[in-house]
Amino acid sequence: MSLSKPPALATWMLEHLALGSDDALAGDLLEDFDHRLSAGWYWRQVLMAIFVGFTKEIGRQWRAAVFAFAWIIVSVNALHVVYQTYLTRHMLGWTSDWPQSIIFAMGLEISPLFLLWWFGLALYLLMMRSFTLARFARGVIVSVFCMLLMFGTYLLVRGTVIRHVVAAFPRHTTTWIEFEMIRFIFLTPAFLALLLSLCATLPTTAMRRAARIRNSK
Amino acid sequence: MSSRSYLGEFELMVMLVLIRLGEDAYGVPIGRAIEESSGREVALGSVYAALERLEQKGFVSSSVGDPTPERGGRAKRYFRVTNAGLRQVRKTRQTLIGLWRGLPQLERGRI
Repeated sequence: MSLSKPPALATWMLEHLALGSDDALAGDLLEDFDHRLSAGWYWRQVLMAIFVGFTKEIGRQWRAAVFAFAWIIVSVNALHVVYQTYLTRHMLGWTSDWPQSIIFAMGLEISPLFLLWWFGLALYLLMMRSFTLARFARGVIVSVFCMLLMFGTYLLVRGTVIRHVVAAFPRHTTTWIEFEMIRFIFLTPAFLALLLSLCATLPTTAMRRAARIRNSK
Repeated sequence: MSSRSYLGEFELMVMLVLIRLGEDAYGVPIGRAIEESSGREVALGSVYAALERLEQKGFVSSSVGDPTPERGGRAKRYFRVTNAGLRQVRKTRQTLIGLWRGLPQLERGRI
C-alpha cells in the first residue's frame, strides 16, 4: 500500500505514545517516508518506536516493575483464598437468582482485588515518599480503567477459551480450569495494568526532565 | 572490558556507520547504511535507542540542526563519535580479531 502522506493515526500515535522519543525521530520518519511511500513501513517504524520507548521506560521505572510483580503475586494468591471461600459458600447453598448471583459473584471476585491494588498503590507511594491524594486518585482511576479493560476482555474470550481447554483436559472440572486461567493467563495483563497504575501515580521521566530544566534556569 | 563500556553487535554497527558518515550522520542515513549492510529493515526507534545508550556511555555526542519543511518543521539531530568512542571501537576490533584467530575452521567455511 503506497500513499503520498503518512497515515495520520500512526503519526498521532508516534507523537503521543512513543515515550522518550524526541522530534528528531518523527522528522526522520517523515523524511524517509517521502522516499519509501509505504504505509506498511511507516506503521512498522511507529509501532517499533512505541515498543522501544515502552521498554526503556520500564527500565527506568524498575522499582515500580519489581513492586508490581511482587504485588500481583500477593493479589493472585489472595484471589485464590476469596475464590475458595465463594466456592465453599456456593456448596453450602448461599446463592441467589440471576442477576443478583452474577453481581454477587463478580463483586466477590473483583472488589477484593481492587481493594488490594489500591492498598498496593498507597503503599508504593508511601515507600517512594510521594503520597498525595491527587496522585493516589490518578492511580485509582487508571487502575479502574485497566481492570475494566482486562475483565471485559476476559468475559469476551473466556467462553471460547474454556471450551478448548476443557476439550484438551477432559479429566479436570470447568471450575478448576477457569480458576487456573484467572490465576495464570491474566498474570501478564494484570502486571501491566498495575504497573501502568503505579507509573501514573508518579511524575513521568519527561515531567522530571522538564522540572530539572526549569530548576536549572 | 566492563559491561558499561562493552559494545553490543548493533551498537558496534552504529558506531562504524557514524565513523563512515562523518559530519552528515543523522537518523535517516544511519538507518539506510545499516539496512544496506545487513540486508534487513532497521527500526529507527532502535537506532535512536542505541545512540542514546552510546551517548550515555560517552562514546557519541549529538547536536541539533535547523528545522526543515520536508521534515514537518522538525530539526535533525546529528551524531558524532567521541575520542572515547573511537578508542572503544579499536579495542572491540582487537578483541574480535583475537577471537577470530582462534577459529581458522570458520574462516575456511567448514562449519
